[in-house]
Amino acid sequence: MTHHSVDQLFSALSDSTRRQVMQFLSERGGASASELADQMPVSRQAIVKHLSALKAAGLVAAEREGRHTRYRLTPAPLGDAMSWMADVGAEWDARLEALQGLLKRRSKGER
Amino acid sequence: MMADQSGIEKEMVFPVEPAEVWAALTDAAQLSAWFGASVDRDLSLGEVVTFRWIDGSSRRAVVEVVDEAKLLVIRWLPFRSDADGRLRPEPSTRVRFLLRSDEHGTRLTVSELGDHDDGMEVTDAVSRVVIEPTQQPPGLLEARGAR
Repeated sequence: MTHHSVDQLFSALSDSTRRQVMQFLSERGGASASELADQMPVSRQAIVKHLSALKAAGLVAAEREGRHTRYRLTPAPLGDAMSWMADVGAEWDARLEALQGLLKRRSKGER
Repeated sequence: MMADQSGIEKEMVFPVEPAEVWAALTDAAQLSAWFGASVDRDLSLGEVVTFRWIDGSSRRAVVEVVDEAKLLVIRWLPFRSDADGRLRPEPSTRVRFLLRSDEHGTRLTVSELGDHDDGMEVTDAVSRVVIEPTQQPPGLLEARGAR
């Protein structure tokens, strides 16, 4: 996954309704747009738009079941985002250790 | 040093005054000494600063918020320049440096969040869905404002 996709994922999840949809799908395994709309104070039309955005970010997949479409979570991009976050977290750990060293040396009068 | 499990947030206490930590964050020479990249100018409000890594790659950040010895926020531009000058996309993130004085010196909290309003809620969401797929946390509804 490219870092561009991490950006897209963060963008997709920057909406609280979409986060709720993700949470609901992760708990239930799958749902239709109508079932999702029943759970939340938004219209079915709004849910469909949110599902589109999540689909574009690779976070949900749609499956036709007769006349209905069921959506389920495809969490692989979340794993990639977690890896990215772990990498960046490790970078910051190293930086703060280095900053600590620098400040210690300065306070001892060294450079 | 504490690490927040749900996002990129790191904290460290330094036994020096906030002004000293601030100088290490904003003075080009000092920042270059610990950041892992060399910085081409001091960080002041509105500046676009270039960070250059030892492998020749570089990235720029805009200094968005400056509250002397208290708060510094920079926003990474969403690409990196390779050593050969090619541009690679990078996530658009903001880094927030919060400095607080306490009895031990200066408590520095660094957070790197996606460049969206709900940065912390987003990283919470990523962590919750991956780590606790079958648990029922009270819901992300309460995430906003809970921090």
